[in-house]
Amino acid sequence: MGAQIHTNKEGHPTPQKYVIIAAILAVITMAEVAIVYFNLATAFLITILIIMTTVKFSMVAMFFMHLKFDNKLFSYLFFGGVVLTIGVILALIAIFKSAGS
Amino acid sequence: MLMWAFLGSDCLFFGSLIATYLLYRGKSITGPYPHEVFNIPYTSISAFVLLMSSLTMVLALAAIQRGDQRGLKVWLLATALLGTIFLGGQYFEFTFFVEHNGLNLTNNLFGTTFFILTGFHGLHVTVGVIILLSFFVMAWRGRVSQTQHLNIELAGLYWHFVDIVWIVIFTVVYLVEAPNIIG
Repeated sequence: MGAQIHTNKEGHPTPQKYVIIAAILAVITMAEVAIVYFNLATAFLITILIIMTTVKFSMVAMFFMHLKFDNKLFSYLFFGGVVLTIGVILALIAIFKSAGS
Repeated sequence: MLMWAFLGSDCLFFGSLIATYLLYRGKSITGPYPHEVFNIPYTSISAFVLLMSSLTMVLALAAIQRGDQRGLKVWLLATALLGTIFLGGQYFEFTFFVEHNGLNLTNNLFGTTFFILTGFHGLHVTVGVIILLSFFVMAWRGRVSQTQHLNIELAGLYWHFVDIVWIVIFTVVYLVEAPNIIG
């Protein structure tokens, strides 16, 4: 029972499970804020922040937006947009860097 | 399915704004600069408020799915209230930046990219609050039945998307700047 996801009849998590997910998100947010007050190397700090942001992003999308439980097509549509967005951001940064050098 | 296609395309919209902010980050030749104006603890509370509004939104959906009309109304109103608190915080932040720090839309690249990015996000939150309040009024009049839970689910998807975008903006715009603030 421990690691099992509790679901209701629609296959979505129960309200209790939603509260647990929100508590985890709140703890990660507090950790994000706390970590910037440590004197960490910038590259290391940014890496940690990106990982934490990705975890929060994924948890909201998978559990609150129900992508984990819905048709895979919805995941492809949404995460397709996300991947395309990351590609656009990286491409723009690369273009501007090469134009500036 | 159209909602997911819309959200995927809205990702690109915010992606282009985030890319623009990142491209011009550190390129302002006059102040005020990010580290002079940002207040990380204050923005952290705003981020927390919006994050918790995602919980209340999903609880509203869970309520209508089990036919709990009272739960639907309570959680919809709570979500709209949290969204309004977030918007109030953003209004106060913008006003403080303009009046106390002299930062506006036109005085440097930071001001332009910051206000455009966070302003468009605030606009999305405003639309979300209007949608939520509309559903609250409909629920109050007994016009949202259990069989219409898909409408609440679609409103919820939009709301969670707005939250997801802020999760990214909070890190990319504010937290990344924190070492420069703390020194």
